[in-house]
Amino acid sequence: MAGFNPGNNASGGSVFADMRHRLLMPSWITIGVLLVIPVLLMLVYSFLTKEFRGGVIWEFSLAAYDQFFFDRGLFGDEPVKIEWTYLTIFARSIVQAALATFFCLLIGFPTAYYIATRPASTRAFWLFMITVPYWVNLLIRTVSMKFLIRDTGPLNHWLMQAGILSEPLHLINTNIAVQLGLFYSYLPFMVLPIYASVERFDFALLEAANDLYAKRWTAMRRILIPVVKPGIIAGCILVFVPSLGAFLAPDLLGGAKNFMIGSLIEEQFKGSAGNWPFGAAASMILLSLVLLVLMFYARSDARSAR
Amino acid sequence: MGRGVAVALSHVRKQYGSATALHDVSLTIHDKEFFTLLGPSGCGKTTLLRIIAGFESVSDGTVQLHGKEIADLPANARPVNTVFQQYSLFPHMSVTDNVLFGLQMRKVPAAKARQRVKAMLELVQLEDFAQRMPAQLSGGQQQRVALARALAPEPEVLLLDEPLSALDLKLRQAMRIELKQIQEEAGITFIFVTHDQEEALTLSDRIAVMSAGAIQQVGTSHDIYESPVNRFVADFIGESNLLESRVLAHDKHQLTCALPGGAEVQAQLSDTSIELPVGSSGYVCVRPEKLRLLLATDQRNGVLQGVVGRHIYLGTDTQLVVHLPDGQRVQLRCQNAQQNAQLPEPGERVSLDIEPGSARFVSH
Ligand SMILES: Nc1ncnc2c1ncn2[C@@H]1O[C@H](COP(=O)(O)OP(=O)(O)OP(=O)(O)O)[C@@H](O)[C@H]1O
Ligand SMILES: [Mg+2]
Repeated sequence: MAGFNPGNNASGGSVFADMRHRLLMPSWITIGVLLVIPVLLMLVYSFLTKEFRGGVIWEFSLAAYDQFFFDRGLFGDEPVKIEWTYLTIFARSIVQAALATFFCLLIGFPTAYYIATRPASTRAFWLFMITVPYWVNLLIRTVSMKFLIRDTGPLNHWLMQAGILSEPLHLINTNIAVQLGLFYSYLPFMVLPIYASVERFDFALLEAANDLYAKRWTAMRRILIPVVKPGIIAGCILVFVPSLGAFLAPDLLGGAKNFMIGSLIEEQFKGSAGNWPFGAAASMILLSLVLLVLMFYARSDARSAR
Repeated sequence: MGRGVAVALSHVRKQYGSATALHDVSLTIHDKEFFTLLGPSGCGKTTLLRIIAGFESVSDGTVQLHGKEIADLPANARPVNTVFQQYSLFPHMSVTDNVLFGLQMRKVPAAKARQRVKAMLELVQLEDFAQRMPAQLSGGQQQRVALARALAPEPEVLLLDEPLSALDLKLRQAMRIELKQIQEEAGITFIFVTHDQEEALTLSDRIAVMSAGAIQQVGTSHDIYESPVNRFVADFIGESNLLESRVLAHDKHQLTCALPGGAEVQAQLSDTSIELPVGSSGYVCVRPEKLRLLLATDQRNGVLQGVVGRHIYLGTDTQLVVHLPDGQRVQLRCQNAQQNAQLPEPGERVSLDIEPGSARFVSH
């Protein structure tokens, strides 16, 4: 942005600087209205008192956070213990999101590498193929997945016909099904940024490493991976963050036992059984976690840029 | 200079699909030699270098390094390093780490490797830049890092693919001298690719002139400039006047040839591998500086007559174009210090003489 400012004139307030601010107004307004205000609203709601049929009473309360972290017994008069229910859900979410990121990277990196090393004329085709399924709504795709993997579904049917299994593989309502759903939902978010950075990679560098006595895999590890690392990190964030808050896959494929934070939050705002302040508090805790991950990324990025 | 053979190529052919990039190339490059591959764009210089480095396989023929066949050796197992045309420095590594890379891959002990890196950076005068990233260096500095990186693992042969082409003229000239010094100090065989003949002539012990995937001539700078073996070399190296001619008589490689206008001239056949029968056609090749303008006061006729065309002022001398009656043109150089006052005007008739012993005869 600084490059747009002609020269470095100390007089300031140049025509261009003014214009820049004005041109950026729509972006600022959009971000303000659609991002900052809702988050602030959420923050406020998380400190209010719950109304039993959904909604809130405008009275300050820490009850939501208290409920999240502490167990005070049924009537709130027992000695304070840590409430494990929600922390377990959080931990499960983090593990699931981390695994989804890992599997997406495992499959996504070779895919992106393959596409980026095709002749330029066929790359667009491969990218299109990667994104085709995503023209269909996520809900429909997740429901289809449910049909595919259920006990009497086509997957089990084929596996049994082929003689690989003697009885159906029970996938539905397991963590594995949730993992499958997450992996499938977010794979392109891993492939695309990695593709973008591998496509820009100068393959002559691998030849140079080869020339300097590096074997093929050493050259990949020491040269290719570090150079395309920004793409890998971007892909990991784009998969990890939405996986963490996902609720469709856990709801539809995981059933009641394999709850993730997304579903927990969603439930708080649905119908009269909800608890808005609690949902808001859970959201704020999730948001803090995401910010922590992003800060970690920013730090490692700054270190590698040095 | 009775030295061992560093690289020997014999009957190397390289085919890309239906296109042939190299036809039957045979070369012998000696130990500690500064050997240059010179030729126009697309003649196969890079291809030849990549075959020696191990990035391309040969379609036919053999490649030997110090007497050992290396056709089946992968690039990472050949004791040969390359300075790439675009440098190809590792962008995420500091100058030190770039130079260290090859040493690490060769499992040189850390302490020794550090010492070697330091010595290399001193050699290319970049000690003060050891911690910089490649993006923070100028083109010339990057080029020197590429050189240090390639020299560090002590290769038996160093390959350089137009390493100076990305630099501006001044820097290029300075780097040429440095390169030559480094080669002499390091005592390594250099195979240097360029399409810049001045670079080739000033740096090389020997030059191979290439054209269209074939070697045209191999020799010292002097050989190649003074005795081009064919029309391509005569035309490509320096400036030449190539006059259509016929062989009138021959005594071994000393020919008597006909010139336009009927005069005769003694010309030497440079390509001693061939015999030209009387009557064969070809070209008499005369360098512009070997043509002498005869003044009216000389009272005699030279071997060529013509009409003066343009003058081109070149600083130390002036180039004169003379049109011969049959439509061919010749160029000559007149030193400004001596003849400035007496230069003939355009349109004037003049007579030219060829310095004795300087004419060469080349076939097509
Ligand atoms: N990978 C390839 N596939 C097909 N043809 C190729 C390939 N590499 C080179 N060629 C062809 O082989 C010939 C020689 O190429 P090469 O790169 O060796 O030329 P060069 O002498 O290095 O030219 P320059 O001075 O422009 O670098 C060219 O005609 C080129 O088009
Ligand atoms: Mg080339």
